[in-house]
Order: sequence, then C-alpha cells, then structure tokens
Amino acid sequence: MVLVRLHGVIKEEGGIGVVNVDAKSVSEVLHKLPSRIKDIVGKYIKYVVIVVDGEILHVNSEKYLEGDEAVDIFLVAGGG
Amino acid sequence: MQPKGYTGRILFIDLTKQKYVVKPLEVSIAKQFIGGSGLAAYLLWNMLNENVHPLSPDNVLVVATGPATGALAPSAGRFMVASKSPITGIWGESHAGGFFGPEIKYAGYDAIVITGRSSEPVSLIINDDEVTFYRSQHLWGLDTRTATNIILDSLGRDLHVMVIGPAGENMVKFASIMVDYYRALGRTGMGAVMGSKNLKAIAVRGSRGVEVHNPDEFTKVVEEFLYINTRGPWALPAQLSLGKYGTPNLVSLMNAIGRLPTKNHWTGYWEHADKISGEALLKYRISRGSCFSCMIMCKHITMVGGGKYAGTVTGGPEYESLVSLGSNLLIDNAEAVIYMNQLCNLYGLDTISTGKVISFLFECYERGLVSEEELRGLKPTWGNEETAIELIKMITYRQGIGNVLAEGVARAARIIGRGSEYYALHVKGLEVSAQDPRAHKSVGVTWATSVRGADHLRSLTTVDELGYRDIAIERFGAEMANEVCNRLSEGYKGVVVKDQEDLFALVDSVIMCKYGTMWPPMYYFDFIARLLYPLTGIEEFSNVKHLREAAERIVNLKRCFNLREGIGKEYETIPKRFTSEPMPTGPAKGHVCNLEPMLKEYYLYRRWDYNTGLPYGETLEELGLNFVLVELEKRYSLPRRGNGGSS
Repeated sequence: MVLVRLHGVIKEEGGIGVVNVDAKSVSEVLHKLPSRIKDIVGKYIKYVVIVVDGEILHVNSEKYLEGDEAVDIFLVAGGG
Repeated sequence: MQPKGYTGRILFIDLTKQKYVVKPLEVSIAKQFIGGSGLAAYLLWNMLNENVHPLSPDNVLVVATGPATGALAPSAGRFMVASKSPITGIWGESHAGGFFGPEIKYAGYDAIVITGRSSEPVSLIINDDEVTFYRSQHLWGLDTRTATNIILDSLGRDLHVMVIGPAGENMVKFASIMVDYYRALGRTGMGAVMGSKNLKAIAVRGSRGVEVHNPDEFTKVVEEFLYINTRGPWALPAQLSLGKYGTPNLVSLMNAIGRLPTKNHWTGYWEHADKISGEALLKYRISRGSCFSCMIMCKHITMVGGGKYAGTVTGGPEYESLVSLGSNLLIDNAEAVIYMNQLCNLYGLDTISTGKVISFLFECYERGLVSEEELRGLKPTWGNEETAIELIKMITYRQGIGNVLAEGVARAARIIGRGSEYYALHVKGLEVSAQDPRAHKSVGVTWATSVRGADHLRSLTTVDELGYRDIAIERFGAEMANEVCNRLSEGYKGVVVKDQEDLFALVDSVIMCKYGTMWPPMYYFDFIARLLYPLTGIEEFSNVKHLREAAERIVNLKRCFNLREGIGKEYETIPKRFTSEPMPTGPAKGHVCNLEPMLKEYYLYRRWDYNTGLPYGETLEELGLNFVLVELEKRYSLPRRGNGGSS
C-alpha cells in the first residue's frame, strides 16, 4: 500500500490528509484515490505536483512504486 | 522632455544640518538605471567610497521607488532602501511592499537620500513639499508598533510610516525597519543605519498623482496583466496556494523535496514540518490583505488567541521566518514561532538573521564550543523556545552573549572562535536564507554571487525548483530544458541564475513584486517592456535589449561597488556544510553542492574573468560604465579579453 499525503486545498476540500492506496505507479495512485479526492485532484490536475520520496513525477508517470513510498500531492507553489 | 511615471525629483536630506533640497532626476540616469535599486546603485556609487564606515554619519541611506510604483501597474506597490550594509560592509538593500512606496511618489519624489547624523533622535515627516525634522526623544526606545501608533495619533492616521525599534537604535547589525506595522525591510541591517543617524522614523503623506505617458495604452496593458492574474494559466494556483495560505504554503512542499533548512541547515527534511506549515497557520489567521495594486493578496495577519502566547498579533510569519525561527531551531510550536516573529518585528530585527544567529549558538552549545560562563545560565538546546525568546531580547538590548550575536554570525564566530566558524552559515557576512543548495543546486551560485550576501531575492530561480519545462524551453531552448529543470543537477545553472539575476535587477528597479516574476514565472522582460513605454514615454524602454542591458549595467555597478570595498571573487563561495557535508537525511540525502562549475559558467555569461572575478574592461565599457572603470582601475588591473583574461 502506498501512503498518499494530501496538502493545501486538496486536503482542505477533501477533508482528509492521508489515504492508503494499493497502486504500482503514480497514474494508478491517482486513478485509485477515493472518488471524492479523485474528483478534487481532477479539478486541479493541471496544477498538481506529485512528489514521490522527494522526486517530482508527472501525473501520468508509470514509474514502478514498490509500495513503501510516500506520495505527496500538492498544488504548485514556489519561491522563498 | 520629462518622462512620465517618474516625478523627476529626488529629495536630499542632511540630518546634521537639518536642511533639505530637491534636485532633478536626470533623464539620462533614468534611462540607464531605471529607478529603485538601479537608481540607488548609481547614487551610492557616486556618494560613497571605501573609506566610509556603514554606521558613520558619512554613510548614505537611499529610499527609492521605481517608475511603476504607485501607477496602478500590477504588484507595483513596493519600494526599497539601500546603503552600505553594517553587517557585510558592502552593498546593502532591502525591499518592502504595502503602501509606503506609492505615498513617496504621491508626495512628489522618486527617491529620498539621507545623509549625516542628527544630534538627537529625530523623525522625518514629509508632507508633499514640506519636510519637518520632528524631535523624537519620546519615541526613542519604543517598539515599532508603539512608535507607529504615537506618530499616527499625533500627526494623522493618513501618514505611512517606516520606523526602527530598539534593535536599530542599539545598532544590532541585522536590525530591520518596519513599515506600517507589518511589513519589514528586513535584510542587511538598514535599521542599524537609521539608528546610527539618530533617525527613528520617516512618515510620508502625499497628495499628488502619477502621470502616465499614454493612459489608453497603459490601461490596455494593465488590463492584460489583470487578465493574466485572474484567468491566466497561473491564476488559480497563485490564488489557491500563495493567496490562500501565503508564503507558509511553501513549508510542506520544500520539506517534500528535501529543501527545508532544519537544525542550523544540518539537513533539509524535518518530520515536524506540518506543525508550522501553511495549513497549520491558517487557524491563527485573522486577516488577509494585499499590497498596493496587487491581486494575489499573500499578506496574512495572524493572532494567537489563547495559551502562553495569547495576544500575539503579527504580520506573517512568512516562509523565511517560519523556517529560520522554526525548523532551523527545531521549534515545532507554531504559537511560539508566531510570537518570536512578533518580537522580531516589534524590536526591529531581521527574522532570517535572528534565527540563524540563534541556531548557530544552539549548534555551538551542542558541540561544546561555548562555555557556561559565556552563556550565564542560558540553555541553548534544540527546540528550546524559552531560550530562543530570551536570546531575541538579549540580542536587541545587546546583553551578555546577545551582544556577540548582535554582530551577526560571521563576527560572532570570530569572537567565539574554537572552530565555531564552520557553523556560522553566511556568505560575505550575511546569514543564509531558507534554502539548501544541496537540494536545489542553483541556490549555491545564487548565494555565492549575490551582491548583498547569501540571499534568495537577487536571483533565486524557480524554473528548476519544481521543473517548469515550458518556461525552460521558452527561455533557454529545448536542448537545455531537461537539465535546466533538474534542481539536483549543476547543469546550466550558471546561465539560469545569470538570467534570473538580470530579471530581478530590472524588477527591483521598476519596482514590481517577486510574486509574478519569481513565482509564478508569469512576467518576463518582454512584458515589462510593454508596460514601461506607455507608462514613461521613454522609447528605449520598449526595447527588451535596452532593458536587458540596463539590468546588466545595474548588476555590474553593484558588483563594482563591492569590488571597491575589496570584496571580490575570494568571497564568492558558500559555507562548507553545503559543499562537503552530504545531506544526511530526506529526499536530497547524499547530495552536496558542487559550486565551481556553476560559478565558472556564471562568470562566462557575465563576461567577467573567472580567475579574478573582475569584469573585463570591455564589459564595463559596453555597458556605459566608463566612470566606474576609471575608479576601479585605481585599485585593480582590470583584465582585457585579448590580454590574458580567462573565462
């Protein structure tokens, strides 16, 4: 199971900060999110940043996930 | 013909004689140096020299606006101050938002130049053409909020006020200036310069407007900006991240990529980051506001309603403050961090430098480098919020070990000795900002080359931060894009930082906000050109090449300011922690910053000699900086491209 941590408006609108998903890639993670969260992520998909153990991956990434990774889902931000 | 946008007037104030005079802003200077930071560089180059001590009456404080300030251009409410910095001894500048900058323009000035030293505490009250030297003994010693309240209650609530606190009066080397309560001119100790001049505050009220060359065309461009801000591709994320949560929104994201400075920058990842994140701070927010003419509205006011820190009300804390006073000290009590932020603002201390001198002491204590006798009962242990709070007070009033820390981390390490220098994280004397070049490689060259020392606001690049490929292709071409976007690679970071530094030199001179230019990367040189010509009527400003040249001129002039002070390439490095200690934990684990290749590339694109760090003579000539070249050649033998110079 992959640990998925939700941040910012995605967390706020979804009312939940952490979910576990049985998935082998980022694209599968996004596909298997609980439907309410999936809808929210879908709404912001153009602006979503996926970070897997520090590595930024594209929302369609098929990179294999072992299952012990943490996937963080943010809305894009930057600067200092 | 006098260009529009500018007032065409500079106010010169002599505090020693308590006299003032207004002189015209020469059009040729505006064309070459734009305004704001560029104008300040021109003025300070000509008015200062290497023999002037930063805290002497001979130092000069420039308060400057840009042509866009107060003219309804988006995010153009900012202004800046510049001087020789007491913490670094070199170029110092700091910027703030709010409404003070536009008010200077409305009072009829592009800049205010302050020289001398008053024989007693004084404030400057500027009402259009009238300048009053307001005796301020009754304000001396007061915190920034109380002093601001008294000025507004006595002289009118429509004034805008910049004021120092006790830290500036006591000439703490990293003292800040607070503007209209909640905005800070934080970095490089500009508050100490005011303190050294016995200048408590400057209050401004203006009744004029800003004239525009071509109102129809200017309005059209402004409307386009507004469209981009509200409906463009970056509008929604800017509002939902930066607008909704403010800069604290960055805490969780930076932690996720391993770039959250933790424990005096020992590492870039902290398990407790969520406790000081944007989401955690949201419940303390009581107000959300904007600067003049800004739609992002990232300014949050927070309040702690109960518990130990009840009654705390402060602007921010911003990302840099949260990190410096939070993760950097391992303090995960958000309410304590908010309280410390308030204390810094009331006393007039830069939160970044304050956090970094305290974390330096914490690490020295952990490693047995400071004695119990020096600490006089203090227990500077990681996460100890009571000690951190006590140290903020001791720094402000220069008590005990606080008097050592008040000198800034570089001098403090020299005083303490015993190998503590290694843990003093600074570049050219300025404490490092809240990034980590092991997790974001371009930060290394940004810090090393920044004219004011370790700094994120002269050239921090975001194109590589999360990897914006479209922007990278647009600016650097498809061949370079992948490497540019990789924050963990040193590839092409010299050219990326050079480009960003030029953009920021222009942005800081126009003056616009970094939000919109740094992140989101919406506005680039071309957009600024489209704005400036209808605003000013200066035809050259419609030409991107001219603006890029002006930006390079400004960067070079400031570098030459530092070279005149004897600060050159030998100081362009970063603390060894980042070059030789692999990141111990988190997503960037194992990485170090390999600075030299980036630096070499940066010098190449800057047209400076890699061996000496000096600009080629031709570079200065091509930029129209012959007057600088003549003066520098008294000190250096400037290399020539065909004469042994290397890049």
